[in-house]
Amino acid sequence: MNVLRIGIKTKRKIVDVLYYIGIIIVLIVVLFPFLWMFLTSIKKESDILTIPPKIFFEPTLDNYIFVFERPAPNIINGLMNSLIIVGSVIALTIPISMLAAYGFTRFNVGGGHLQFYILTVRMFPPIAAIVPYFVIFRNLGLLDNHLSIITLNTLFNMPFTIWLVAGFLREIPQDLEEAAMIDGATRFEAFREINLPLIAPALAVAAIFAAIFTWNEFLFAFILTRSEAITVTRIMAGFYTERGILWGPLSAAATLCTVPMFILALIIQKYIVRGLTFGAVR
Amino acid sequence: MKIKTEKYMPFLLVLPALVIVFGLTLYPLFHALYYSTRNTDLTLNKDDFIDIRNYRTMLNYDPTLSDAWVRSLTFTGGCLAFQIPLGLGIALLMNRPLRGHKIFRAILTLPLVVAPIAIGQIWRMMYHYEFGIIKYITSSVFGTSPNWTADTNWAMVSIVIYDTWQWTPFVALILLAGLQGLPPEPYESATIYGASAFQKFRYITLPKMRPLIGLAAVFRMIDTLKTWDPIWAITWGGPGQATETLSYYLYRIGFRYFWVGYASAVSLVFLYIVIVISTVALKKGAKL
Repeated sequence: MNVLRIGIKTKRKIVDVLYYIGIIIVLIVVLFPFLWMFLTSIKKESDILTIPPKIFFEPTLDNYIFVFERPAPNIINGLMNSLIIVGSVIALTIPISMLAAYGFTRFNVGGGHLQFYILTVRMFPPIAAIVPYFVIFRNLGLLDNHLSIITLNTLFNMPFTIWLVAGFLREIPQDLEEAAMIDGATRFEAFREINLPLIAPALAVAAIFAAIFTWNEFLFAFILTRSEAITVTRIMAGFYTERGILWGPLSAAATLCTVPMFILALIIQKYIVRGLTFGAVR
Repeated sequence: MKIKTEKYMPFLLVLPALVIVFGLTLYPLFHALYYSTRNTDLTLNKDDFIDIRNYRTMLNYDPTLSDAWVRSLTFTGGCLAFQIPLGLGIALLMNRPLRGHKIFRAILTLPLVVAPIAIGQIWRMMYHYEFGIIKYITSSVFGTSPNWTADTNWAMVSIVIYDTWQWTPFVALILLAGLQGLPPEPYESATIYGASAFQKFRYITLPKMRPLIGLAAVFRMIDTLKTWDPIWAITWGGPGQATETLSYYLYRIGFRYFWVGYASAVSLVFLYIVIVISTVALKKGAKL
């Protein structure tokens, strides 16, 4: 009996080790490109394109200095513009989406059809609309302007935010609000006192998602910005020279663009799947 | 006055969102519809009404377009074929309550939040036909190696591998959430009746996971049909036209050749087909 129990325990241990090996292989594959990006960003030019590729080398900050000291528009302009755009997109998307989500869940505006139409924006391939957008913004004199990028990112972040917030609102019993309104509160007061504290986490999560999507957005930035409103992703498309691609500086810029997103991802850890599936998966 | 605002309030609540959504989706649509009947070309300053000739060109005289369709479908099919089974495998691995599973899960989310233009270009470097680390690894392991993005036969495979790297974690996390929500009872009784681990997977796990697998597949399908950034980042649609999917072809005719008229017609058809495929898939596969 005793021998058997030890047998089962050892078997479980062995299976555990096999699982660990599998997981570690997966994690190495997941992390390797990030590691390579960082290593390349601190390599001298002569250490980057070598056979065999170098894992040990003398680190340098030259690439980072290069991207910061490049003549404008450089990465500083890119980071600043991306920050301005992200901030504005959040400031627009969150209140507008919150109101719409409230209208859809509490009054069933449009009987579900309108909310579904908004969802189709998620399927809308931006490339199919970029020609009209380009012509519209050119006629409005908004090429290479923050406003055009802010507007488009707001559009593409709204469906997601509305669905996410609506999902949270549906979980709040309507009786709570009605009770407050019977006690004499206005609808606005009832919303502020009862719903708002409960959906605040959802709004925070949605804001972080909007920040990630907007920060990473490349197509609109590539077509619609040039120097004044250049974003960090558009900056990254600018490392092609007659001498070939500047891999070191490109890796430094990519690292600078990626690290803030890692931090945001870790903050919304628990909600990433729920967010990316529009609340369909908890 | 008070009654009036209360009556219109539901519409006022959704109005700002609707203005933005309708304004920025319907206007471009009509714009594209108008230009799709013209031969507008920004470089030649042509802009005449040519009725449905753009559509006829699209159907009969544009082999590049049909090739692009084939490539788009190949890309989407390739991504699904890799990502769904791999994602399921990773979810099963992560479902075991091992020490450190929270950290593993956190690491798995990282590829999902990175700009394809940033990490995609790093992959372009790793795929380099001469000095790339991937070429170095494949040739050390297998003795010989394809030239990856420099080879017309392997370029599409390279992009599929990149997309699989970035998005399999998404599939895995969806399926992991599903696995963790499965009730334990069927497994307990299966154990009593002597079912093997494979039988439990085949007859309990798979059927119960089917809706979520469908959901993950739908999301990946919608996104792979739209994919543009990674193609710019890794191959620019090349070598030749080897990785030129529909969305990349649209970019080329719209912004390299400035054929606004023809690009508008292709955009409309592309948009229509993508929305129809996505909506049908969403209603059938995901039942949202």
